[in-house]
Amino acid sequence: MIDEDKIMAFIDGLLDDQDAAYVAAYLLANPEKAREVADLRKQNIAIKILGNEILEEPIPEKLIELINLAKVNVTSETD
Amino acid sequence: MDKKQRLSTLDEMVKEIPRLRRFARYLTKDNNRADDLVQDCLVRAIDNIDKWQPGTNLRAWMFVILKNIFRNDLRTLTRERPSDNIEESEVLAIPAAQDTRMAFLELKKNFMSLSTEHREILLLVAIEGFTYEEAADILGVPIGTIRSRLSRARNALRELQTQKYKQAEEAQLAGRKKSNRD
Repeated sequence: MIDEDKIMAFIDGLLDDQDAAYVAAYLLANPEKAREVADLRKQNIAIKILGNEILEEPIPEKLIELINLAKVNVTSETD
Repeated sequence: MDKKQRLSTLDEMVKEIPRLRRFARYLTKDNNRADDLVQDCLVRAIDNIDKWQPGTNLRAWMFVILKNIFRNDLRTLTRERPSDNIEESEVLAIPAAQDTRMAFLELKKNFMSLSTEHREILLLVAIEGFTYEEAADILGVPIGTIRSRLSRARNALRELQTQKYKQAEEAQLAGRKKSNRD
């Protein structure tokens, strides 16, 4: 049985070869569903880079300071 | 946890900041509020550093903290602040042809108009690449809920994307008719 869970796992590349083949065969027989899944796959790949530019931004100074302060506190702790 | 472990954990925490900022920014849709959220998350993570078990997933642990603070904030905020001051220049930084850039802007706008629940699940699974199990742990829901929520979120986004696509097509068609008349 090909249910929505299987389709999601297919999109996320989580199925083993046999299950993936079942889904692929099912999609061959169901063009409308196949179009939908193709859209979802494309969309899934495209959103992966959403916000990538945020990862490249310098970390705000106040956040680094928080960590540095914590490090100073750890270092100055008496054993 | 000894001194050395605490210090190295603090260094590991720094490495997670960019991902925490992305998660926070896409959850809150507000850059300033997002950095406040990350700051609160760091404070809490530092205070509870001894509760983190070395060898487990630090990123997932910090995402849980951030998500919890965000949820509590939502409850205490009497009204949502005006949202979505994420600058379009962020997307414009993508070096690509004009129409590719437009498509990304469109995708981002549609993503942002999804419900918080839907943005959250897509951020965790599709963008951050957490497994369904990890996402279930982070959100504190059964894995079955993750699967169904993921399916609904993806279809909601597709719905928005296809609507826009149709609108764009119609606009183009209308424009062509107009130019034919001119």
